[in-house]
Amino acid sequence: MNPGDAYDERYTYGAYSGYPATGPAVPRPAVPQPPYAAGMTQLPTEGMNGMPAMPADGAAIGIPPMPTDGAAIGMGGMPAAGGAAQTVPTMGSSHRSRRQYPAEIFELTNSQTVPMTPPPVSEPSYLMARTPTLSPYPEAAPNALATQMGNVNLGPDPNAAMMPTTELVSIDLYNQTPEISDLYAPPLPINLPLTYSATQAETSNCPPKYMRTTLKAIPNTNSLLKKSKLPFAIVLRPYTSLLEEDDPVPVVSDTIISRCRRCRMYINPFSIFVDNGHRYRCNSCGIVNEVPQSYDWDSFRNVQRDRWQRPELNYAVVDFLAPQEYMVRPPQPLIYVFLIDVSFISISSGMVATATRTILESLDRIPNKEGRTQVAFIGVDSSLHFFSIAPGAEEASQMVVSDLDDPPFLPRNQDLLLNLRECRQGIENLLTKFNSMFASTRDSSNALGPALKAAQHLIENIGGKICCFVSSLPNVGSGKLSLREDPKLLGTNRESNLLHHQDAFYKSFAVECSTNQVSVDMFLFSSQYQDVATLSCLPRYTAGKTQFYYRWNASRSEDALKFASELSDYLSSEVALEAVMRVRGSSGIRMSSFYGNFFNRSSDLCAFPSFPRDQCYVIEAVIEDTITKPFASFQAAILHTTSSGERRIRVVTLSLPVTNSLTELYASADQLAMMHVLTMRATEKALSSNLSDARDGITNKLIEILEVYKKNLAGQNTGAALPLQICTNLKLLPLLCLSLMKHTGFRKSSHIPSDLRSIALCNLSTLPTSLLTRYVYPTLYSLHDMPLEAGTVAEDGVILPPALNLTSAIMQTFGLYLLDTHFQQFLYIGKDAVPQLAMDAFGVSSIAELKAGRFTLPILDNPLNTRMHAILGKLRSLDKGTIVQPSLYLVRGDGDPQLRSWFFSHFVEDRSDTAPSYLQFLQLLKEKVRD
Amino acid sequence: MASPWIYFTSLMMTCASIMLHMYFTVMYSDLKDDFINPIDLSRKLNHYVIPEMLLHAISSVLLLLSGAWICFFFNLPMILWNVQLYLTHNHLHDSTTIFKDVSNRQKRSFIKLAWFSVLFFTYLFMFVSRLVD
Repeated sequence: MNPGDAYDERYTYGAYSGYPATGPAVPRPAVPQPPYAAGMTQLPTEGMNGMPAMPADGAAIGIPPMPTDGAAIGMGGMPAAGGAAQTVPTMGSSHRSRRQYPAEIFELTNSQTVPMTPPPVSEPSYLMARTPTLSPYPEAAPNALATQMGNVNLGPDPNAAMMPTTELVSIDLYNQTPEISDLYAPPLPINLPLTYSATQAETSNCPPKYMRTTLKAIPNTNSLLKKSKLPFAIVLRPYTSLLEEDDPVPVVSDTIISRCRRCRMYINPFSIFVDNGHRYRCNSCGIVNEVPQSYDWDSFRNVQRDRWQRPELNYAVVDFLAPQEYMVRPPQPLIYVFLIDVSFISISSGMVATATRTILESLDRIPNKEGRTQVAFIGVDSSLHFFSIAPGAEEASQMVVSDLDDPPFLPRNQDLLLNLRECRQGIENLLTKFNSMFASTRDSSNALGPALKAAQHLIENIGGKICCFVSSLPNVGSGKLSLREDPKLLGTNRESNLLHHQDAFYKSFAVECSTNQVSVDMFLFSSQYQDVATLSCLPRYTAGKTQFYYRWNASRSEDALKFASELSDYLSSEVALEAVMRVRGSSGIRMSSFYGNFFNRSSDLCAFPSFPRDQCYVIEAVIEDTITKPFASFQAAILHTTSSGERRIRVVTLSLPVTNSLTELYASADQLAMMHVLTMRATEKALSSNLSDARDGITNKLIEILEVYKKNLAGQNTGAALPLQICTNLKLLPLLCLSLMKHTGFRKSSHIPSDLRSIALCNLSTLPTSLLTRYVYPTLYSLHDMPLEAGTVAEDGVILPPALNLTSAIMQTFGLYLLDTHFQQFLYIGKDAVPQLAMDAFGVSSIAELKAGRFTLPILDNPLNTRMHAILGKLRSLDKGTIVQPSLYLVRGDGDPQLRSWFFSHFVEDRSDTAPSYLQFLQLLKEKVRD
Repeated sequence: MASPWIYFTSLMMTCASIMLHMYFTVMYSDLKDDFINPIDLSRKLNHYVIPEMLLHAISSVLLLLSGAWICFFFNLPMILWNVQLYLTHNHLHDSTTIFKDVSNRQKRSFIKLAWFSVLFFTYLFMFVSRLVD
């Protein structure tokens, strides 16, 4: 094994999860290069030549020269390395010599067992990882600080993978402009020697895109954790792509599942084999377990197999095929019940037409490998419209039930659940005619509550998904809602009531759905108040998702396209059914609170009627007993049924070193994960109590952290001015906290409709970290003066321009800027922009001809426009695990003041009328931080 | 001067309240140890929340009407607390959030238990002393 390989793998692990530019992702054709891009001259990519060409620079900024570093890392990974001496030597050397490398293992497991598992993850990422400077954000940037501070060696440098992270470098928050590029840098590497792993495979520990913790070292006692005041939590994202094939995980397909008999932890790369490999010691509780009988036997080919090739001993993230014991009933088919609001408002906004057409076009994309998938359609206005198709029939018959009693009346003897394959023709005909059936309606009622009950009743014995398309407020039957929003309430203390649910029906119904394995997804369209706060209760507790289209109208083609593409992606996404998740920690660690969309069925068991692939969960942990082992593990296990009818368990294991020093704890803190936990806590506060509590929670935590740092860890020579200090790896935390408090979800303002607040809270509590970062601190790019290579295609996709700080001070009146918040993209053109810029970018002779608002960038034949398209496309495809298509807005420097103030409300480093600027915020913190 | 039987009634009601809260605390610890699921817990306990509050309110009003001022003022903080819980919709158990809430609930039950025990002995003392008089 050559050291370079080890280095590469390491680097891959440190890669930033949401960022295919450096992430361990399979290359994909996702960036839709416009056909005209081919004619473009490929600029030499500066990054590639740049790195080896400037050794002096590299040395100056503190990155150790690559070969040395690589060797250092390689040694950690090598069995015979010096580092091995200090660690557990429990494994027989005969075993060790027989171990294989991940790529081979993958091939072997693939060839013999799962034909459906796509090629290894590791291979292409090697290539990417070898050119780390290809990242759009210059590596030099974060280290510039260090040079200023006179520190040459940085602890948290991503390249220093196996270096101890104990070095704590303080920086003074005051004298620095926040380094935005750090937000997109890979998280700190885990400082755990691979020698702890049974196979010592580079993939033994969990990549941060699946699981990351706020602390990369676990405090050994609760008092240490308490003293540090740092939140201790796991951020878990079990799936990173909508389709399994985009980010495959190795599968253990022989249904041999070995678990610890005491703590029930699954066997993982950190289990230690003893007794000549006949037994293994659980890495969580330390008890010795028997290795299953046929563990070394390949039951497919009936030959002895090499244990060290087993995926569960080589990979931290694996799928186990579950045997019979893990099923309570045979795997159920996937069922979608489409509940479509057919009241006057929805018909006139074009929602019904768009939704049915999109469903029709996406019928082939709905997962249906086994041909078992079923669908049902229910129209809702003041009565319920059911549609049944006899098998083989071409026409659907409609049944109208206007009796909204409880329990709802279902035309039982009819075929309401339609098999997607058998009734295909009938379904297509139904969807084609659907809109015209209701086109002349004048009915403005919406009996959503009874319709939900009916839908639940229809599938209660099987389970499945109910997708609601709603564009009016439910006003008939149980669960009817009133128009409670009063503009006078906004911005006052009583505003928080608007964020709580209005009717207990939605909560109790959610619980009922959860027990019947029914999950509810809401697609909400508003022309007026839609009460997202109440309606989002259903998805929140049934593991569904809420999509909200504010002021949506199909007559705007951008609106229609956005919804259609999101719905289509949603339908094509694979879903896991009947899932439960349990997160276990090593002995001494207990999971205390859980955040995300699910129902807590018992103190540590989360129930998901269907497991979405685009959500993220945060689990807070507490230390109950002193941990004496050198490392501890977290393991999340998700038992689920795949949409193709297989019962599987996804197991994600993360092992971290244990520490007893406060310095190490701070040096290992991960600011993005920290921000994620604070977001979840604040969201919870906003939903259970009020917004000012939520904001105070964020500031108070930040002040506590700064206080502890100042008291215990800040340098001695602080000088008379007593600067506000924090370690380099947490230096963006104050900025992130400030942007969180200025976020639509939490900002003190009397201009934010409660629907927008509620949906922001929903998004904040489900987005994965990489996207949440963008959502909280939007990314600003300057397009008029971007570097030459930005927007061109390099080896690993389109190069993005450097991200800028969100302060309007850097905005030039003649410039062209792009702001990306994940849900929206804004193109801002200054009022003094030269005609040539307007011509190149938008194909108009002066900016006066541009119409501000929803926008589609025209396709022009010039380099600037082509590069802009490439950048927009790249931003849209940064994450494979989201259905969101950002909507593009054009903002003119001299245009619509409302749009401009919306645009500038994202500039969190500026002062707004109710919130301080970043510097003022630091001043505020300084006053509050006591000695 | 309140009749001893007023105290006796209050005593009995307090007894009932104490038993209810003992039941509550047992159920809470069962929930923490996963012996009961949140849905069952909420369904079982929510039956008793309002009766418990009413029981207390009735006994206090009885005391007030019979002129036992001091005893009534003793009860007043708890009445106000109950009213506040009711008005903020915090009195019933919500199975979706119970795990985040259960420690608070348990604390609440313990406080009430302590309070009711004090009341119990006060009433007992008053009842016996009135009887002796």
